[in-house]
Formats: sequence, C-alpha cells, structure tokens
Amino acid sequence: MQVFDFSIFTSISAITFILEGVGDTLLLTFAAISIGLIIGSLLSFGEVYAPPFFAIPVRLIGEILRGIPLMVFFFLLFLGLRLDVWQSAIIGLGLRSAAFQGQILRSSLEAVSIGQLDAAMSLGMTRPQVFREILLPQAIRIMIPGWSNEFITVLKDTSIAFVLSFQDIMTRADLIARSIGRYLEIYIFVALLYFVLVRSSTAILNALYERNRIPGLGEKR
Amino acid sequence: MEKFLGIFNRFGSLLLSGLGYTMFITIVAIVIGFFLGFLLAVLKIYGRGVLKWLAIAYIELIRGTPMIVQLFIIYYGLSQTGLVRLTPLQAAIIGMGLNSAAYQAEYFRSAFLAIPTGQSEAALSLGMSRAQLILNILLPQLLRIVLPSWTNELVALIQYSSIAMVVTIMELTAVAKYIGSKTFLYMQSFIIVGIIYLALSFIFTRLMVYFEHRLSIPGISVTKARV
Repeated sequence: MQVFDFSIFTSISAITFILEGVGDTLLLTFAAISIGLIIGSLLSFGEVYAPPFFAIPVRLIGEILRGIPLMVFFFLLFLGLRLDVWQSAIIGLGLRSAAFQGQILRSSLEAVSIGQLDAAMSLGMTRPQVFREILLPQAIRIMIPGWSNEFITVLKDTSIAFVLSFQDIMTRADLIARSIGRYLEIYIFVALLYFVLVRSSTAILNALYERNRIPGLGEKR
Repeated sequence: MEKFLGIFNRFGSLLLSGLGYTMFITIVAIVIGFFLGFLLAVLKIYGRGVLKWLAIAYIELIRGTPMIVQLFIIYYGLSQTGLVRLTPLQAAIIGMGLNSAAYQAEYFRSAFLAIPTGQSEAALSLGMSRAQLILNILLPQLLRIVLPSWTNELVALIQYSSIAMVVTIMELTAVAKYIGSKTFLYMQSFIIVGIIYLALSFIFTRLMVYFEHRLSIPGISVTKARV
C-alpha cells in the first residue's frame, strides 16, 4: 500500500461532496457569532452597568459558559434537551461565544478613558447620548482585533459539531474517508480547506480593522 | 437529586478514571507544548533562513486548522500509512502537545518582545553568548511574563481535551456519554461532568494566580491582583 495516493482527488464527486459542506460551516459560524454578539452585548452591559444584584449573576453565567467544554454543551443540548442537530450546534456555539464576546466588549468599554465621559457629561450630554455618541463608536473599534480572534476560534470550533453529525466540512470528509478508506489525504485536504477559510477571514477582518481604526490609536497591522 | 447520587454510586470509579485521563492528557500535552513552543519562539525570533521559516509555517498552519482535524491526521492518517501506529492515548497527547506548542510559541514570542532590548544589548556587550543571554537573562523574566497567558492556555486545554473522545479515549466527556447511554440520564450525567470541568478550571486558575504572586518580581511585575 503506497503511503500517499492523491489519485483519489481525480474523483470529482468526493471533492464536491466535501466542498458542499463549506456553506454549512460558514452558515453555522455566522449564526453562532451573531447570537453570541447579541447575548454577549447584553452580558457585558449587564456586567458594566447593572447594579450588583444583577451584575453578579451575569458574571457567574459568563464564568459557567466559559468553563465548560463546547462538546459537553453540544451533548447537553442534543442528548439532554433533545434539540435537533442544527439547534444544538447553533445554540451551543452561540452561547459559548456570547461569554467570550461579552468579555471582549466589556474590556473595550472599559478601555475608553473615563475623562472623555466626564467631559461629555459636563457639556450637558445625557447618559444615553454619551453612551451612543462617545462610548460605543470607540468601543466597537477597539473591539475589532479581539473580535477577529473570536471569529476565527468559532470558525475552527464548528468542526467540533462533528460529534453531532452536523453536515459540515469535517463530517462530510469523515464520511468520504471511511467510505474509500483513505484517511491521510482526505484529512490533509480538509486541514488545508480550513486553513484557506481561516486565512481569508483574517484578511477580511484585518481590512475591516484598518478601515475603521481610530487614527493614532492601536497599531497598524 | 437521587438520580445524581445514583450516578455517583454506580459510576463513581468510572468518572474518576475519566478525570484521570483528562488531567493526564492535559498535563503531558501542555508540558510538550511548553518545550516545543519555547523552541519555536526562539527560532522565530533568533533563527535564520530555513529554520525561521519552518517555525513560522508550523505556527501558522497549526493555528489555522482545527484541533480535531489535526488529531484525525495523527491518529487515522498516520496509521493508514503503516509507518507509525499510535495508540489512541499517544495520538491524543502528541496531537494536543503539537497543537499547544504553536499557541504557546506565540505567547513566548510576545513575552520575548516585552523585555526591553537594552538588556539584550547590555548582556551581549558584556561578552555573554546568545545561549547565555537567552537562558540567564531572558528566560527567568520570560516565564513570569508568560504565566497569565499560560493559565489561559491550561484552562483552554483542559476543555479541548474533551476532543480526545473522538479517538476513542474514555475521558470525562466520553464517560458522561457512556453513563447517559447506560441509564438514559443524559442531562444529569453531562451536568455532573460540566461541574467537574468548572471546578477544574477554577482550581487551576487560582493555583496559577497564586504562582504569579509568589514569583512576581517586586516593582516590575506585570500581574495585577486578579483574585
């Protein structure tokens, strides 16, 4: 048996079968990141602005979501609560990402200097105005680098939905590899596929960072 | 509540052995990653030519692909070639060690860059060799700077060790799934395991914060009270 047999890649159907999973992988990534962004914002606002009575439970929820492996989440939702594959995958990834995005947004909110807020208040702006006009536009820009890392992490972690038989790149590749009995070539192909996805997302997110960067703040990439 | 106790009574030893596997894989992998990561960081900063580019390519490739794919390549891919045949435990440890090395290399690299270059110039002008500079001047400071990120890596690795179940290792998550399939108490068994993971992260985080304080250099410490 030869070590490498790349002739399997001449069979178009195997390749297209794996490539069809790219759509589901990206869809899962975007869905989870969006849910994470919404819930994460709520978590971070709760942690920063809510009175201690609410802030402490919110922080506790964040700690719990960050301390449990993604796989345990998936199984809790899929086997414990009997949700279907899509629901478990999206909710599991989304909740976990919410905890991390909450942290990122919270530290970005805290990175805006307090002097600016005092200045705005003394100019007669109301609290909602300060939040909307001064705080948020800066915090969102400060957030982009950390958020890019989180996006990449979620993109890679979608592969863990393999344990739910979610039909993404990984599951499809595994099916193909088992059916034709060539593991090394298929998995290396999948690794390269993920690598291309990760690098292109990084490039797009870096461009986003450059466009929205506050001049003089942060480093050029 | 008695369902939880029932699981503990019937499967306590199994849970304990699952905990053992999880900890064993995590700790061996992080130690492998520590040494290899340090080497990669040194090569990326001080290396020349092929070695430098190899280190960069390794770090980028590992960080750009999911761990589960890497594990599959090492376990199923390598055994297909017939050259090496790894047991599941070896595959998991090597796979996670190699993965962690790439991440730890980046932590080490940013720690290297955090040390003022004046110190390196001073050491070299005193006649120290490169190796002496790295081992005697930079390394002691490096370890202290890298400790907080290392804590994060340790906690992340404890969680990612659950991926080892795809190569048929009976670590905590796999044990929970097994208990669930035996008793149909999936909810309870995964909650128990989730709490164990939470406790592990909590204990290790506190332990590392304690070390940070013990080892911090007065005056130039980067650590803040995070407790």
